[in-house]
This record gives sequence, C-alpha cells and structure tokens, in this order.
Amino acid sequence: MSGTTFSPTDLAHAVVSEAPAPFVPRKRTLQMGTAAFTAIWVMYFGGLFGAYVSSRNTWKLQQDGLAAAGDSVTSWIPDSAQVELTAPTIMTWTLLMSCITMQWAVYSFKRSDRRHGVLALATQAMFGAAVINQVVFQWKQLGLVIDDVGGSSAATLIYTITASHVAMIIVAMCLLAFAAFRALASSDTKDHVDVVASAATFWYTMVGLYFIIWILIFITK
Amino acid sequence: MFTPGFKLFGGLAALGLFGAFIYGLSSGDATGPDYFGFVDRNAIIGLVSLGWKGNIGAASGFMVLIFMSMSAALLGGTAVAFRDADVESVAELGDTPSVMPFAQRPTAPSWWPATTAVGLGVLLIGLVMETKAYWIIGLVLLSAVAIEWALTSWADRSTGDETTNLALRDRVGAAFEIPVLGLALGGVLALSVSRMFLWATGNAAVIVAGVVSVLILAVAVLAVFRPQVGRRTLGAIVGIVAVAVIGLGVVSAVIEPRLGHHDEDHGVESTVEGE
Repeated sequence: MSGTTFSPTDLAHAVVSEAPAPFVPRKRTLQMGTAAFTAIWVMYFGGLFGAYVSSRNTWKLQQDGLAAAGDSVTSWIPDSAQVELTAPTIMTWTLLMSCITMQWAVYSFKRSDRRHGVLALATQAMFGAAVINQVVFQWKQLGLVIDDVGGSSAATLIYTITASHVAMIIVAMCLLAFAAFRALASSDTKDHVDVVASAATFWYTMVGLYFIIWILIFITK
Repeated sequence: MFTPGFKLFGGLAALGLFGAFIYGLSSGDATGPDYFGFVDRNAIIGLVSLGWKGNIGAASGFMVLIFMSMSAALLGGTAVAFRDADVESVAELGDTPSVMPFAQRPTAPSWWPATTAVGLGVLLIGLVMETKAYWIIGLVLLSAVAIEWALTSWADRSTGDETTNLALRDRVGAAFEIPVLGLALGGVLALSVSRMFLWATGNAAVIVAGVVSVLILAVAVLAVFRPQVGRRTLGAIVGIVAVAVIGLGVVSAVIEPRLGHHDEDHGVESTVEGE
C-alpha cells in the first residue's frame, strides 16, 4: 500500500475517518420551528372552522325566516347526504390510540432503542394510513354534491376541512418518515430525539384538530 | 423564570382569549334574557362553552380569535419549555457546557427546496385540471425529492468537511440514481423514437431508424477511438444527441400523432355507425 496516493475524498478507501468530526447541531431549534409550523396549521383550521360555523349560522337564520313565513325549509347538510357517526368515531379512536404509539416512539428514541423506535413509527404510519382510508370511505358514503342546487355551502366546506386534515396527516407521515430515516441512518437514535419529539408535537395537534372536526361537523351537524 | 418568547406569545394568547370574549359579547344578540340587566345570558353560556350551547355572536371572528389564542399558547408553551432555544441553555445540555453550539451547520447548496415547489405546483395543477399525467409527475417529483433531500441532509451531518460530505452523498446516491436515471432516459428515448416511427411512413421509418442508429454508433466509435476526447465533450455530444432525438420525438408526436391503419380502423367504425 505504500506509495499509493488517494484523493482526500476517495471514500472507497474509507478516508471519512480522517475528516474532521461533524458539527454538533444546536438542540431545541427544531422544536421551536415545528411549533411555529404547527401554529400555522392551527390558524388555518381556525379560519376554516370560523367560515363553517358562520355559514351554518347564517343558513339556519335564513331557514328560520322561511319557516316563519310558512315556506319550505331545507337542512344545512342536504337530506340526500348520509352523515353517519361510525367512521368519524372510529377515526377519533384510531387517532387517540396513535398518540400512545407516538409517545412509544419518543420513549424508544430517548433510550437509543432503534428497533422499537422504528417499529413504533411504522405502527404510527399504519394508523395514519388507516385514517386516510376511513376518510375516503366516508367521502364516498356521504354522497355530498359540491354544486348542490339547494344553495347550502356545507358540502364545499366539509370537503375543504376534511381534505385539509388529510393533507395534515400526510405531512405528519412525512415527518415520521424523516424521523425513521434519521433513526436508520444514525448510530444512536438518542441524537435525534428532537426530530421525533417535533413530529410528535405536530401529530398531537393533528389529533386535537380532528377532535374538533368530529364535534363540529359530525356530532353537532 | 418566564422567557421573552413566552411573555410575547403568552400575552398574545391572553389577548386573543380576551378579545374573543369581548367580540362574542358585543356582536351577539342583545335582546335576550339578561344577567345584571345588561349581559345576555345566552352569550355568557355560549362564550363559556365555546359555542356548544348559547350564542357566540359573529362566529367567524370569535373562532379566529380563539384559534389565534390557541396558536399563541402553543408557541408560548414551547418557548418556555425549551427556554426559547437559547444558546446558553442549549450549551448546558451538551458534554461541554462552555462550548456554544452552532445555530446552523454549514450545508451544501441544494436544489431540493425549489424542486419541491415545482413538484407541488405540478401536483396541484394536475389535481385541479384532473390531468392524470400531471399529478403523477408531481407525485414522482415529490417522492424523488423526499429521498434525495433526506440523503443530502444525512450527508451534510456526516463530517465537518463539506467536500467529504458531498463525496459521501454521491457515493451512496449513485448506487440508485444512475440506474434509475439511465432507465428513465432509455424509456424517454425509446418513446421518442417510437413517435418518429409512427409519424414516418414505410421507407421513411427505415431511414429514421438508420439515421438514429448511425448517430448512436458514431458517438460510440468516437468514444472508443478518440479516448483523448474529454468526458465533458463526450457528455455534451451525448446530451445534444439525446435532446435532438427527444425533441424530434415531441415534434413528430405533435405534428401527426397517428397515421395509417389507426385512422382506417376509425373510418370503418364510423361507416358502420353511420349505417
């Protein structure tokens, strides 16, 4: 081997060990950034919920006026739509269960338990996929028509709110995938607790927002 | 005890909550049964139950203020829990409390954020226009970005030397990038040539096939017999040939997508329907 020269970046000869140690990243900035990112989603849903409740109240006032005048009235959610509680309730319980597995992932990362950490994240992703599956089932079951001739904007708002929540689940699952990648690529999962804890913050908020959707749209109708 | 971040966002949360209650009271129906002769009972019930029962006035403003309060509370809670991510408190977490960690490690320039924006745009356009090809391209772009960006991010953290990190990233990435890109380029070239064959008729198709084959052979012969030709020059020649073939494929597909027996078949069907 003597006399052989290698490029400093010739990784076939494992000179990575000669490179300087990596910079130690500053902890906690990710949590702060994720909190800001999550707050954006909370405000977005706040606007959607406000528009939904406001439209629903206006619609009910109009219908009360029509009823007082002796005219026929129509409901906020068209009678042709089939709003059932089974799917949303199962989704709520599924998401509540996912909070436990999310905490399992954080716990495993903290204790450098890569196997359980990745297993917890995979279970978490399965819960997310199950909820998306249920939402699609519910969309088909609802049978809501966006350009309904009755004049109610319920269908548009319900689709907007539920589809936005599906988008939030997809983003949460991308964060989980990112945490899983870090776990698989790292020598010690303990170094990446901030990543999985940030993903957990976003996930818990997503669950909380679905709880509001469940009550606002499907319970109170 | 309370960090500046908590004070800012905690104050904003309190302001939002207070504002929501004032807004709910002032925008509600003032003609209902009162407490103390001036406060509407239904409004109080509505505000306390966050609209579950009673009256919250103009709902949109009330909800937006409540959610503003919740968002600010989330930020304030995080700020106080993590001490505003303050550098000194973070340093205390490390093995050497006197060493202040960098806020941002040096990273190589990356195209992935811009590519994400393009992928997201194409996906949304595809969904809105209900064009399957667009949203599939968008999904493929976003999936590729997810893998590549994660790989780049991992490599950037590997060592303290940017050049070594880049080489490490290329070494791991090339294992799947070159086969996948090669397959994709081969597929696009085959598709382009097939469009040209469909456009050409009879002998013209043979001539097109001959020209394309000769072009490929010429580049290969050049690569073998003129090894002094630089990699960049050879890459440029291959690139020009590939772009020319793809361009001609696109042009021929646009000019005359289908010729010959397809139209004849349609003509027969039309005749039968006409009868």
